[in-house]
Amino acid sequence: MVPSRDEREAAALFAERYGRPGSDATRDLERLVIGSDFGANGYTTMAQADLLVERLDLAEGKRLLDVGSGRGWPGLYLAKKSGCGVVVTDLPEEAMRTAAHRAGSEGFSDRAHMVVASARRLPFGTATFNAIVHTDVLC
Amino acid sequence: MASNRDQADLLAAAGFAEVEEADFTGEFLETALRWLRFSRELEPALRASLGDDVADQQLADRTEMVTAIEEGLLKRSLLVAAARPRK
Ligand SMILES: C[S@@+](CC[C@H](N)C(=O)[O-])C[C@H]1O[C@@H](n2cnc3c(N)ncnc32)[C@H](O)[C@@H]1O
Repeated sequence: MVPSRDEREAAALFAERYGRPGSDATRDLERLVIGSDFGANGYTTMAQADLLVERLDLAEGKRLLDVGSGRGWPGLYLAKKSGCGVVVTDLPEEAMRTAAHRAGSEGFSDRAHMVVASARRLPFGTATFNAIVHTDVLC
Repeated sequence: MASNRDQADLLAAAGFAEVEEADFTGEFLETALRWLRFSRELEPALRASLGDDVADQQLADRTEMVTAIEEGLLKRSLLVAAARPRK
């Protein structure tokens, strides 16, 4: 299916952002503001991510989908913290590559998968996941 | 997608049950203020790493975000909903 104008615009805008390498300054800023270090710049704080683990009952053996997770925040964090499996999705390939690298370097790539996909046409069957999150995504 | 229905309604219309909504606008404002405050504190280092154009744009966006929340134009909620049991 042909991407809509909104999808093309979001992909281009965010690809540019995710193509920019992080620096000590941007990492320090993110840690000070929301407590994460994923190259995120949204409004989901670490305390709120912890609340999601609880509210969604995430645990080993469960499968989570994070839609529009950028470089992996908060999906990868939720999986690391709870032990659940995760699929993170977003439009720019660059973001998914960074997320894959992060899951690998933290030693849980066996239960973390990245898929380049639009939220409007997710390529998953019904009841594939126990929980779905999306934070700061309007599409 | 644009809609003037609220999100809890949209979730219910999409087939979710037990839709619970908690208002997080207060925390949203606090976080937006923190982005602005720490961006200013770290401004020299951010300018050096991002360049002036991106740093200026981010500061402008963060200022605008604070204003929009303070003026009541933006709110933030945590919505938790469960899929309806399948028959
Ligand atoms: C503000 S960022 C939020 C990233 C992350 N969830 C967070 O909380 O920090 C919004 C993300 O939504 C993604 N996005 C926008 N439209 C999308 C769509 N149609 N499908 C999938 N992702 C989309 C963008 O590429 C971007 O990574």
